[in-house]
Amino acid sequence: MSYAYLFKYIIIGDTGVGKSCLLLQFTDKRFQPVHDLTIGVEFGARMITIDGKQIKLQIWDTAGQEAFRSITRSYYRGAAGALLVYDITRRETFNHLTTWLEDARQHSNSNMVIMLIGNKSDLESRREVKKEEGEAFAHEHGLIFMETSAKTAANVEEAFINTAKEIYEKIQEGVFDINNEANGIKVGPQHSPTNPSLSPNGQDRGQGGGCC
Amino acid sequence: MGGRCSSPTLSIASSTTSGGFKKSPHQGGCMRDNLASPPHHAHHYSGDAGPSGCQSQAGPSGMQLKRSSSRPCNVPGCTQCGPCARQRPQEHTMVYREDTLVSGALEALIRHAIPTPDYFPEDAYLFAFLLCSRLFAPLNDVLVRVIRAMDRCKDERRSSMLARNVLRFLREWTDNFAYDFREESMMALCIDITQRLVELLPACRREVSELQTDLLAKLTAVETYEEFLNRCGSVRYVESVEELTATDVMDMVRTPTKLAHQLTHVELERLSHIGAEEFVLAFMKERGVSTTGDDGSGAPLKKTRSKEAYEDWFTRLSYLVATEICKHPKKKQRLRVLDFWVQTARECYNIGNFNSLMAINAGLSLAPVARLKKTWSKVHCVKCFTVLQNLMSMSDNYKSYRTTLAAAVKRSKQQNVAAQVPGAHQPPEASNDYIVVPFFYLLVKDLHFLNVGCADRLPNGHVNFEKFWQLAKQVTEFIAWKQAVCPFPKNTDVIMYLQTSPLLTDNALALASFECEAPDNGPEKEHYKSLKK
Repeated sequence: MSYAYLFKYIIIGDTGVGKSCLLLQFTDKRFQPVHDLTIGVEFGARMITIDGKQIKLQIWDTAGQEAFRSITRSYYRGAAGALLVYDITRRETFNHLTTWLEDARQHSNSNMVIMLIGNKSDLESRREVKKEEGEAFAHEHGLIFMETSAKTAANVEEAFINTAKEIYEKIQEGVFDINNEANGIKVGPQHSPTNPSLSPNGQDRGQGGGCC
Repeated sequence: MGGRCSSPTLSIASSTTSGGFKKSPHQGGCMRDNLASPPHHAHHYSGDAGPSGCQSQAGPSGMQLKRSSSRPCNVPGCTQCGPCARQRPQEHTMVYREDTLVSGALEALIRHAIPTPDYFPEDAYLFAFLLCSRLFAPLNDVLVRVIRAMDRCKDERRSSMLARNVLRFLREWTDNFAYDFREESMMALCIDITQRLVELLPACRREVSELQTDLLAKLTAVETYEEFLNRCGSVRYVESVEELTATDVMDMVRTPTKLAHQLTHVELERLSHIGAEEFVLAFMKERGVSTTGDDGSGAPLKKTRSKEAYEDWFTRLSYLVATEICKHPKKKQRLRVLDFWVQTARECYNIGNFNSLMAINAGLSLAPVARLKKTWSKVHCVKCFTVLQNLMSMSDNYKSYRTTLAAAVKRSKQQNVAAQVPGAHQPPEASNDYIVVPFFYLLVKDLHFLNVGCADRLPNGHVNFEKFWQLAKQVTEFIAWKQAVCPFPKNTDVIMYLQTSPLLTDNALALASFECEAPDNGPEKEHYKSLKK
């Protein structure tokens, strides 16, 4: 499918805060009886529209793979946006945010847009972290903030889309170098007048077998 | 580490070594091909039959099942939904779609797995059931029910028929999920069953003893491996280059090919100890379900950690690569090491060792290494690295890696067929082609999404068995991979170095990297300053 831009996201946060559920909710894959993960099935990706332009979000979720630290860190570098998630019903997940943020900042490109997400807003009765605390943390560290519920889908779309809007604005302002793929942004095949050398098939180069 | 749970088996094994009977053809390794085929026996005969008046001889009904048929279990003597009474039909229902079991009530699924004198579950079903049922019910219960069925069977002829089937059942279990018997209560039940088997069917003495010997060997092997892991200790991270050893791995092996061979040894050794059930136990841990012993004794379950150890190895290899590169302040030497690792990655690709390849790739992509632009500009094989790195691309759900893996698997199968042709001579070096070491991370990731994305139970309370077929399929594939034997000569020193040499921490790596090539932008300068404090 044709797109104007591709943005790469990464979802981080403690185990059990609902990272995968956010992703599955957003990509409409939740509650399918069985997922088919065969070759070529797009997974963790979705098209959105901003300013009349088709934008593909490719989302990389770290849940269930916390042990693969080196992989997580090498993907940080190629991400344009990060969703930093905590669970509003578990204080400790909020307390760990500083560590996550340091980790993300140390291993990513400095322009990465980070959105702070307080998930499980449907569990109001068990809330341990006030909304104001999330807002204050976000304000202090220059992040955008939102409370979501992956269960009821509240604010899930908005979280992913607002992050994309912020990235899009940064592109318009010229902050992001869109020709450097390491920034987590790719210009779509038909949308690269500034750089005709960008190969539309670049991503498939690896299949060819032997190298050198 | 606790006491050895294996000792009681030893005494049993030694007391049952007499007797001269042939081993029954159990089908431990044939799950693969059967997975796609539907279970043929939808109906079965339960050992814990009710009133004898209900034990009608309902033969295995045929396969003429309608699409999406939902039927009672037809267990003879079943008072719940049999012809005698239909009070709670839900409890015994199994649902089929196009002859494949798609869901069922837990009770029906358990009954479908337990053998009777004239029923034995399909291999593929039994494998999927044993792999996943632990999510719903304690494993002990299944064995207790087997024992109860044996006790209830009074007819001598049927008792020995049942004993045959129970032996086969236990064989499948111990072959495929040996680590379940690390838990003492499970081992006690296993011993209980084997004793009954020998009483009911003295002729099976030898097979029982073989089963025990094999199980014991597996449990001893994993304990030896865990002792080795303990000796290796947890990964030693150091804060400065000075604390590292002076050697590089390339001082120990002369060529990238040889290093790739030693890496493959480490991979296959570590892979071989992972138990299929460890994946499912990891799900339980993620959900916060206690995986400790629930047998009332309060004894903690002996937790196998081969999967974790293998994941740690991946991280370790990545950081080893980064450490070995960043520790050299002199560009010329750094370049030599970098080139060596890129070529090693290529050799891993050629062998089919995708896990090491990806770990090296990840190490080379870590910020402290990736930012060394001046060093990279001089690398001989930079194109090669780009190709290898594209394998890691997550585009289209890791399409390029999956395609490459599928090709490697196909190639290795063809080679295996060729090797079985009588008279076909295989030169030793050609056997390289048999190996496939998968990129473990992706397997873990796929299983994770299978787990969180699909419900365990349907809204009607039925177990969503489709999910578990899929799980079993992936795990079965994994089992085939882990059985590969590494054909290369072993260099113990290198293997130890790879697994025990100290590594730099993230901060130490970043600092070393800035000292190799000075920071060239604002954020890097700030980062450098903060590290030097």
